[in-house]
Amino acid sequence: MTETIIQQIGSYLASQILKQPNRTITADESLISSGLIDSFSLMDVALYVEDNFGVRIEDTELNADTFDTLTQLAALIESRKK
Amino acid sequence: MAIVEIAILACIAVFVGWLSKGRKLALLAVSALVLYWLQPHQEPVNLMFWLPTLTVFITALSWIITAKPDSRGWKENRAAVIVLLGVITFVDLNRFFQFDWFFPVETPRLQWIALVILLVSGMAFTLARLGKFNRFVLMLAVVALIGLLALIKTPSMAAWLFEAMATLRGKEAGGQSSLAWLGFSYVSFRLLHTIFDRLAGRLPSVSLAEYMNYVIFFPAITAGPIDRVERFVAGLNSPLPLDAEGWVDAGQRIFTGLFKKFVVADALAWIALNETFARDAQSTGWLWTLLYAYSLRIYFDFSGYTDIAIGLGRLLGVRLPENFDKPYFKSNLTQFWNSWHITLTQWFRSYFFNPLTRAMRSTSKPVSLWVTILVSQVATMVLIGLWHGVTVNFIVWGLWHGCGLFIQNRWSEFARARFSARATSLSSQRLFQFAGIFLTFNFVSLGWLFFALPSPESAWNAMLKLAGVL
Amino acid sequence: MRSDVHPLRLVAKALLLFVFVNAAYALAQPPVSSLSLYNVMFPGRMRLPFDDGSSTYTVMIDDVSAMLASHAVAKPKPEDEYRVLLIGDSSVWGETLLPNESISEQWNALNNQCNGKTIKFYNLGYPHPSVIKDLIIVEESVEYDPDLIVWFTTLNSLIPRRISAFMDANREDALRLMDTYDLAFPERETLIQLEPSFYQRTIIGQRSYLNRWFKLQLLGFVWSADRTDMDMQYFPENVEGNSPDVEDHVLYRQMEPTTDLQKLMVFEAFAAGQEIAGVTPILFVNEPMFIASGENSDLRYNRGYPRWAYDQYREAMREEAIRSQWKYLDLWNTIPPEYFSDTALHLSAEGERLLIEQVDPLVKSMLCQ
Repeated sequence: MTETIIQQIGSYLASQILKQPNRTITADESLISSGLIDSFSLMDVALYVEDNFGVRIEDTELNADTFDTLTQLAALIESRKK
Repeated sequence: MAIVEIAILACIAVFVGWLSKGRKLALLAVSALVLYWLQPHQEPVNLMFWLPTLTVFITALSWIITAKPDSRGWKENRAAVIVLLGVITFVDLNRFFQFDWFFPVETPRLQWIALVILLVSGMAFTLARLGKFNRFVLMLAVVALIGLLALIKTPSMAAWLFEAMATLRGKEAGGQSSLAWLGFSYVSFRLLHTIFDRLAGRLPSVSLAEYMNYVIFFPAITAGPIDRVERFVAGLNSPLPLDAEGWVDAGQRIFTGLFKKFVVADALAWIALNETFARDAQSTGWLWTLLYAYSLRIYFDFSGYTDIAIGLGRLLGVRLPENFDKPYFKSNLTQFWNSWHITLTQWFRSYFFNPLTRAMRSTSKPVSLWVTILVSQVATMVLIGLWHGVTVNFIVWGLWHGCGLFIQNRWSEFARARFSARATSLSSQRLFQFAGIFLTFNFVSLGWLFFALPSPESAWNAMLKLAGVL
Repeated sequence: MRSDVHPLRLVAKALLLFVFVNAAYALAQPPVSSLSLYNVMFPGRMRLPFDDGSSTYTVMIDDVSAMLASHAVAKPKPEDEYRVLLIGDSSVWGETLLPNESISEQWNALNNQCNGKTIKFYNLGYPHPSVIKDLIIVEESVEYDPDLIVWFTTLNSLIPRRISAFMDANREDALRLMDTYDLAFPERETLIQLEPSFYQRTIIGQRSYLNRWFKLQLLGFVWSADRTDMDMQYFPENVEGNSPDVEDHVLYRQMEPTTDLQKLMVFEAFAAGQEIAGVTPILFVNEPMFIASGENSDLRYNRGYPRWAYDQYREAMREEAIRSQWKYLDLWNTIPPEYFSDTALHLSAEGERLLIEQVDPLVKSMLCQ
């Protein structure tokens, strides 16, 4: 399950946010603290997660402290789904 | 804070941190006392008593309206109430002791302060009885806090306030236009954060002592960081031991901070750009060095104080969040703002930027990306500017950074698609990196002109001089 | 790794190092004062560092080697330069004048040349009138290879009286010169007792001096950018000028007109200056002063000088110059009253130009033949 989430969001990031469909984002690559995803795109990610997994990520949670990698994001989604 | 004050506070921090019983209450008492002790002197002198007292009252009232009824019990919070009232009374007793080193002011008569305490306590109790507060009350509190902040941060309104106070006392106003209220910029933002989180229904249950300690925590009262209440209280409740590692950690932080502030920043202050230097400047090249001196000074001053705050916090067993992360070594403006005054930008991101962006992106017909970016960036940066003071200079500074962020964002979007393939060799990557750092530092430095100089015109003139035009 | 550190041992080591470094500094007395970023990284200053009260542009350092090291005069003399040092008090330094209005820069603007060399003037004036202070600066600055020294003087300088911050900062030089040349100074005993203790020679004891020295170096950035050493806001354009009326008393520093001032005048300092300068000629100039014309002007020339005292001084100076065969120019009454600024001795920028006109021919003749 976690694997699918990581893969799904990873390909969304590469194609829609970074506009580099051929790029693979590894599960433990840092997304926010490295500056890979800026704060606008971060909101798009949050909306994408909300639409596709039915999990809301709060405005105060959109930072590297809450999640910085796909693994952490997937874990967050998993924990909220239950 | 001067060096002696920091030394005294460090000793107190070690003592309070060492206590096993009553640690939270002792910390509360010290933090409240420090509010009075460090409050800057200004006319009318009574403000030295009333402003800290107001800070305590406002914080207590904010706790009452944000705390869940189950955490508002009298039994659990009795001790904290007694400590706070005790501190206020104790400070008022200085009327008889006249310890000038503590408080060079005659405090109000006991019956006055007793009356005020009675009124506020009565109000507090009535509020506490009401039970749960609806959104209306919370929104009212938000408006009141922002209004108060705007009042003291707007020079013309502050001048009006001084005038009103003088008239009330039947005296001449001194023509002051800035109200020095120790820590209020930080205090009000901490309070707003708890109210917003309460509105969102995600504020954890905290006692009065915990809430109060978070808001007026003495290491962070003068220069932040702002922190978040759940993080702070978790740390407060499971303090780090002050073992060998803790001593070294705290000592390193405090001495680094002292060096940054009292050696580097204070020396740079001699040559940091100011109105006189800008007016007399004749050499473009050397004028840049004075501007850089200003940039470095403001960094070393602020981050030095933050280091001291974090070090003092560590002595108490509390780990405060970092506020700076090598901001001048960042290769673009977005990264600069991710590493400069981090807790303030986080605050704005959580309570203004993200909600605004979310609203603009999730309407049925989403606003186009670049409009979203422009509007939310500029609005956020202007608000951050206004937090420093409601003046034209700070608005222009906000616009400068808001537009800078927008341009940088669009440029990197444009460049990523075109240059990423080319800039793969290590040396060209490094070159881009250096160019980015250089550009960002200079952009930020030019922005500081609006901080360093008194009016937008003088800042503009200095820009022309820096460009070699004037 | 971290857990290996013992906080107490660390503090003990730090304390030990602190004591050791301070003691070593006190014993070795490193020549900090002669180190300077000026003339290396920054252009040399046009005047000696003197604080106008704002601390914006300069800092009071008073230590003569540090002051001269920051001055443009400390730069090696080029082949094609005649070097002229201007010695004197605040009227030479140019209080109420910007650096480029001061006497040296106005003179340099004339771009005087002879024998294929340019005559370059260096302002080494320093506020507080005292020939002993002047002599300390002369002794220190002959190192910089002058071709001529122009020494401006007045009655107040010739009777030095109190221990200025400058004299305190250059205590050893002052005492040595007093002993060597037998210079009378009423506060000599007090000065001897000001001997710094061991503690005062440590880094901690020297912290105020080191702080000011450091500030002087850093201010090089501001000097380079602004080329000024004073905040003119401290001297508003309408400085209160001299009044044509003067007070009705005739005392000079509490002394009655019957006093023989000549015995108090330290002419030995001029002789010593000549000896120290060796073959370099010295031109002595009696500073022009404001002369009152209103009420009580029959008693006093101006706020500073009663007539009897100043007349005694002029006569004594004239005799001494003849006896010792000094080149001497007495310009006491040569500048009209409207060219003075805030005191009887401070000239306006225009006044400085008139003064230059009068000294210039003699300077040229002394250098160019």
